[in-house]
Amino acid sequence: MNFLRPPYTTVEEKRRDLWAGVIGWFAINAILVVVTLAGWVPAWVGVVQLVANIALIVLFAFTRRYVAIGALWAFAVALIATVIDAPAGTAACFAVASGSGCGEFGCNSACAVGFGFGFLVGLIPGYFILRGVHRRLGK
Amino acid sequence: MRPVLFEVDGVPVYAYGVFYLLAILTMLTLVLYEARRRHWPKEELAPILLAGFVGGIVGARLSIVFFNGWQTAPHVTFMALFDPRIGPGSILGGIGGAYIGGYIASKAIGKPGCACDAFAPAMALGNAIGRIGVFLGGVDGLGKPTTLPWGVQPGNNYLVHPAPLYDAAFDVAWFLLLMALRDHPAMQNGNLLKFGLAGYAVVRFFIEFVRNNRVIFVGLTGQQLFCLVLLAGLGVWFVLHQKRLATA
Repeated sequence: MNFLRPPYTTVEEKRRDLWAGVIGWFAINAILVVVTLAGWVPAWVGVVQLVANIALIVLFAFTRRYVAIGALWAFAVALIATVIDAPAGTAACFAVASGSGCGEFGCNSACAVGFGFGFLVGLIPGYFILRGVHRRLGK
Repeated sequence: MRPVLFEVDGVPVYAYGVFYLLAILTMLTLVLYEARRRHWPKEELAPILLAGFVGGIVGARLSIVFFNGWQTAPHVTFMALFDPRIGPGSILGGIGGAYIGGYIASKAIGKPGCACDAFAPAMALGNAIGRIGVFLGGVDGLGKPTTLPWGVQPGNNYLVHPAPLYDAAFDVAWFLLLMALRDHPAMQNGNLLKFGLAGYAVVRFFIEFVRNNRVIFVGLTGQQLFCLVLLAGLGVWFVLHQKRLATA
């Protein structure tokens, strides 16, 4: 894949990159999350994953802008799900979480259900934003 | 204090999370309203808003390692970003992350000038709402012990400063001032946001003296050091900007 390619010449290129960003972000991060949860890779991979996410989005922002917009959209929808889930799970801040652990604040199943609900709710405005960007590229 | 607002079928709904959600929704609504009022093109709005939102949430989490120490580093992984049981992090880090994210996005799309003033009143009002959640949640013990008549008792047998309410009261006043100044000719092209950040940094610096945050250097907390660096940066920008105007 050519990361540093010349500027876009057609609408189709922009749309292809936009969707590559969305699908690529979910696919790559989902695989990394699964292998981390399964314990196949050390925990520090999660830190590298976070740094790589930011670095790649910044790199793409200056080289293949629509990949970056697609990836940012996917990142934002997943974060919106967390924000929507917050009332079911966020009881305290890091100071407490780092000391006594956060297990006592909110049960895992409530958080998981909340995250799924949040993800679906986040997808609704997210879908319209993405559709708007996709359609606008053709104008 | 009321950490659990209510229960739904035995599942607690936390005040901190509810007000965090309300704060984010309010900020997004206000930014969209301001963007529309300023005739900000959607092609520019979408990437800058997305970058600001993602940058803000990531920045809030990353900054917590500096503010709270290395023991919080395990919470700064990719997966931890999506764990709602862990707090959102620091608002100062969130502001920094949102600014950097929005700045990178505007440079990447080649936007001339700065439309970031649309964010200034939204950040003040969102912060005010978030602080009410911090107060209700009794986060970080609220503040240092006090004998003042408005002291509150967050589960202790002594009174403490309701520091989040000081912050919220200032934020509401600051929001009204920023809204009043938003069309002033001198407050365009990024100046309103810089003014808003400077005002918050000054007040937050003093509020920190009655909060329980970790002291890092010369008796100052990480948040106070952040505020000083932010004010110094804005000061340098102001001096350089004045010189450029004088030579132009």
